[in-house]
Amino acid sequence: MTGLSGKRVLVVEDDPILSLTIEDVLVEAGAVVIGPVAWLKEAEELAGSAQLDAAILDVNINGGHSYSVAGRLAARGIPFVFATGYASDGLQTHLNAPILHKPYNPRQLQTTLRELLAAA
Amino acid sequence: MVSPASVLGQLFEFAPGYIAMVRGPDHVFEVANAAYRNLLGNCPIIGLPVCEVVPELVEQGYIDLLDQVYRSGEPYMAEGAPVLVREQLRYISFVYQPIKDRSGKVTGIFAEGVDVTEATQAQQALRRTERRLESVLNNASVSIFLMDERQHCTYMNRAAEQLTGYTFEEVQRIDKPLHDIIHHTYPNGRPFPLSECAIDRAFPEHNQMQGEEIFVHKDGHFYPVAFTASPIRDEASQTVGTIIEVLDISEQKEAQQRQRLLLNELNHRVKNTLAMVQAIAYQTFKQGREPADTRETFEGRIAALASAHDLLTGRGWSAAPLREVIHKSLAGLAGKGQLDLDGPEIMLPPETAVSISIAIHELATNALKYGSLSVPEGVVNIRWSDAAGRFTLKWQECHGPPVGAAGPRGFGLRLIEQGLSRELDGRVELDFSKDGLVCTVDAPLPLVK
Repeated sequence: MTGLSGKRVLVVEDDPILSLTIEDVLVEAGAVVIGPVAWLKEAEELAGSAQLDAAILDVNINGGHSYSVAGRLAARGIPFVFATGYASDGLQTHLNAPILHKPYNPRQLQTTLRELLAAA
Repeated sequence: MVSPASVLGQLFEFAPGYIAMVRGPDHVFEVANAAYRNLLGNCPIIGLPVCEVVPELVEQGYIDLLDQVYRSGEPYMAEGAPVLVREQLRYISFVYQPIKDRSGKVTGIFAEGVDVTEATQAQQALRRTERRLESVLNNASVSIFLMDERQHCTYMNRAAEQLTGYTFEEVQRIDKPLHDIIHHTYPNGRPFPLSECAIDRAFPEHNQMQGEEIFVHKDGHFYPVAFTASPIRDEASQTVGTIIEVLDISEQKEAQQRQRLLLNELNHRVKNTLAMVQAIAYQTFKQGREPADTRETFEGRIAALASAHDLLTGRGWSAAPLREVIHKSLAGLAGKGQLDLDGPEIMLPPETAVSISIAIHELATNALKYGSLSVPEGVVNIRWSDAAGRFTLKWQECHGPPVGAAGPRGFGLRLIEQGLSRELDGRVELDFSKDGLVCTVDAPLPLVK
């Protein structure tokens, strides 16, 4: 049922409480967490070279935006989901990724990732 | 029979203008008509020099003028010259005409003058009014333009020159409709034809127009303005032009933008905080001492709170439409075809929107556990209205399992029954009928500020 079992998911989130919880939720679903990373540079490197099945990107990372990370993932055909506390009209949605609006509940994250992987 | 000489004499004597003749280098009065004598207060003058009869003229330079005409033999003319005579200021247009003998030698001066005091004073009054208007217009902070019937600019005040970057002379030289000089391009670079311009419609439509536009400065930058355009009518009420008042609203726009950003940022932080609350709940409940649905209930409530927040932020925390509030609160809780919503457009103030949002969420989770949303064929009808200043809402569950008012009410139902009725200052009733739960709300229509 999980669909996430054994999947390698990059987690980009700079809030320690949220990143830990995302990690727990993903591990609970059987996924392998890459990260979590809180810095853009590291996230870009992983997005460009790590073996990944999917990713969850907080839009605002330590003062910057994770769009560059999204761009690298898109270039490699790796599906990803944005998470943000901003209203969607302030977001660059050209990357056509699903958006999880904070606060989302952990099961929503699992559902969204499952759908993402099923569509990929 | 009257002799021609006496006719001429009478014409001279009663002519409305001042006429006199003076002789010799000392300008001795030889003759003066009634108007002239009257001007000098009818004192004796014949045989006396001008400087003796009207000593006040010496200081005003008129004796020097007579001397000059006498010496040069050239006439002297003046238009509306100020003359102080017998302590009265008069404006006189006059001529000093030299009288010459056969040899061409000047022997005297013929003086003739017309009193133009009234006309001069009227003109001066007009000029004063003009100057006053000019100083009002040029010190006004609002830009003012006048346009003729061809939409060409016929006047710009100083503020208008500063606003546009063009001097009035430059605008006149360009000789095009004002629109083509200061409003010719849309901010996206597309040409802005005169025919699309709302400001210019004030002229053809004979109405006052108001609005906001974006002008183009002489240096090419765009700036937002608020304008009022009013038609100018002639005496026959025909529109002959337009007066346009324009105010630069860049600062207001920037302030609005800053406020939007600030509100967005605040909302972002609130939502991040709610996200952390949710994560903390997840971590806390995870240890297994609490049943799983306690956690879900908690997370659902936080999510309902967040979605109401989201809705209000999108509208600058002014108001939210009831239909959207209900929709958002039910998102993900009801299956396709399980909801039937109907009611007029009602805007709710922020506090009410949040309360209703949480109430609907609680009703929905209750229905999901025990009511009509717990079975696929179950339906919820939601109807609302705003008749006669009152707001009514009815939540009615159908085709669900039979329900009963079992045991003590949980937080959710108490919140609806007690919390919401207090908040709305109205009546909220829960009726556990055999067919399903019915919740009715009846309260004064909440006012949106």
